[in-house]
Amino acid sequence: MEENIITVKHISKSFKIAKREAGLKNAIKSFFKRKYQVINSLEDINFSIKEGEIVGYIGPNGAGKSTTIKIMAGILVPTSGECIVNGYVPWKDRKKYVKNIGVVFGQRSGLWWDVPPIDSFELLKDIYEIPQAEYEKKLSELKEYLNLDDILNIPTRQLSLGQRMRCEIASALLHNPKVLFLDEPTIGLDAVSKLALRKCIKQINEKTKITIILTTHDMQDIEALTKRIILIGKGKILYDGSLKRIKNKYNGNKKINIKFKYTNKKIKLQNADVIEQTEETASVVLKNKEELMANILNEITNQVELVDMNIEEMSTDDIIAKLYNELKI
Amino acid sequence: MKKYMSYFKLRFNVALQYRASAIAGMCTQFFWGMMQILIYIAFYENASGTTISLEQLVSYVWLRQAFYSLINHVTDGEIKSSIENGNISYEMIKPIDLYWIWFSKTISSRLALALLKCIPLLIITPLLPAGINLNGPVSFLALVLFGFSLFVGMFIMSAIINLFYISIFYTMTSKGTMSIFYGVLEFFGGGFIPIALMPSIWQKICYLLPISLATDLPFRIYTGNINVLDGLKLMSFQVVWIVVLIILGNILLNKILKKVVIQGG
Repeated sequence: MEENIITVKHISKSFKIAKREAGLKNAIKSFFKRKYQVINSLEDINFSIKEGEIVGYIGPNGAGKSTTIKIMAGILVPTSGECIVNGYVPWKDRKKYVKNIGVVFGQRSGLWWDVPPIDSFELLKDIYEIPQAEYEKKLSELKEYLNLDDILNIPTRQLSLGQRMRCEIASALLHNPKVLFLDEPTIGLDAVSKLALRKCIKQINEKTKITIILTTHDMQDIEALTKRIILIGKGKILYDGSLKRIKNKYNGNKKINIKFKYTNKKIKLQNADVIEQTEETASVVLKNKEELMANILNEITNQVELVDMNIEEMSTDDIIAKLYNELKI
Repeated sequence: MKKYMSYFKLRFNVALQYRASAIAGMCTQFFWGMMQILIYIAFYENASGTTISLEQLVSYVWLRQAFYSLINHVTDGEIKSSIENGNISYEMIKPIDLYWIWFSKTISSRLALALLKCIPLLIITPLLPAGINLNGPVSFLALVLFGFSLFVGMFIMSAIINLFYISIFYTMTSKGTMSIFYGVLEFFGGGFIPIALMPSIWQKICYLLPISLATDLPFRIYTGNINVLDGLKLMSFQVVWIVVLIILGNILLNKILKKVVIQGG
């Protein structure tokens, strides 16, 4: 049995946020007296991850994903709780700890904007004190996995997002870290780049046995890369287990997309969940497989004037949306 | 140490890339210096009792313009915005000290810019007509002390600017602090009026602060307006200040890094 490389126990994090009502009067008021509100971003988070695992960390915006990643990366100190990664407490002993982790923030750039990525890499070589021979070996390895040959010598500012993201990942792996945190690595990428990137990540994990924690909103990322997901909502862990189990639970469930005449009324159904509703359309998912379609359609036609409809299998995105809905997050 | 040298080298290369900006900067420095000199000439026609001669003042202005990049108040936009927008997290996940990374970045871009600007200015300004030209140093010893004090002065300025970066962690935005910061640095550094032309009480106040030790002292040693002995005394203050500023910066930075929150994504 492999060892746990990451253990997170009872981690909580709360923020104090300055609060202000709208308008000039309140703006002036708050100039003299600020009101603060305490927000619990994370509440009692517990999980552990084994060496070599890829774990998908998912949840809606504002659920606390990035906060958790930042705590594990050592750049945020939690309000309470324990966290041990690779034998270290991340926020203590920061300089020693970070030698063994790599982090990619999909929405930020760690490469030097004005110079080619290779210059950034050379700098990283000195920062992490990587011996020349080791550096060269790793670089040629990464060149192969991530297809970097033609782009390493072009100034970073002239790279496309997909090319840049491949370089970002390479830069996080140069020092051979044991754990890699990927915070939304596929954000903003086109379909081809996403596929290529997923393949690379998978390959790197298989070859180097590196532990990867991945946050994303793209369920296809999760499906392609991970077996295990941790679902977080409103700062709490709601599910920790295989994606397959969730999928099986809903497998064969149908989704009904309906179109109706303009209404503000919220559709309420007994045996199905409305996962999305606008003024003229809605998506409805059956609560379980045995439900009679006729009953549900009947219910719908009682509430709105149906114009058009189609029925489809639930995609993973739909399953997650339904899950968020059920868990009210 | 090697990692900080690498930062230094890379930043140096980046700064050297921007030739057009360096040329523009050099022209600005030249015309600004010329304008100041013409104003002082007019001023000196009716002045008496100044503690600095016109000849010294002219050399002072040219040198200050030539080495402006080393000791000015200009801050690094990249470091500022990285704190404001959270990109600083990428520095925080590396096994490095933020303080010294900023230090080496600041110093390397300063040296690179100064190198691009000072050589042409130091070639042209001595060749200008007498009266508005840059004169040689008052003695060889003064030249050596000038070099040393300018070098330490650059470190003092970088340490002061590091304090400014640290303040952004507290205030979240650099706008307000920056205006105050620039005003204070320019005034007490002799940027608006050379310190030698200030009333004597203000001269004393200015020399109690570290700013003038960076922006004023080296050039006055060169022109002989401050003699070697006084110069050496003030240079020992430079050393004290640099130690104090670096210790203070490190304490403040380590304190705030424990509390810092990187917001967004």
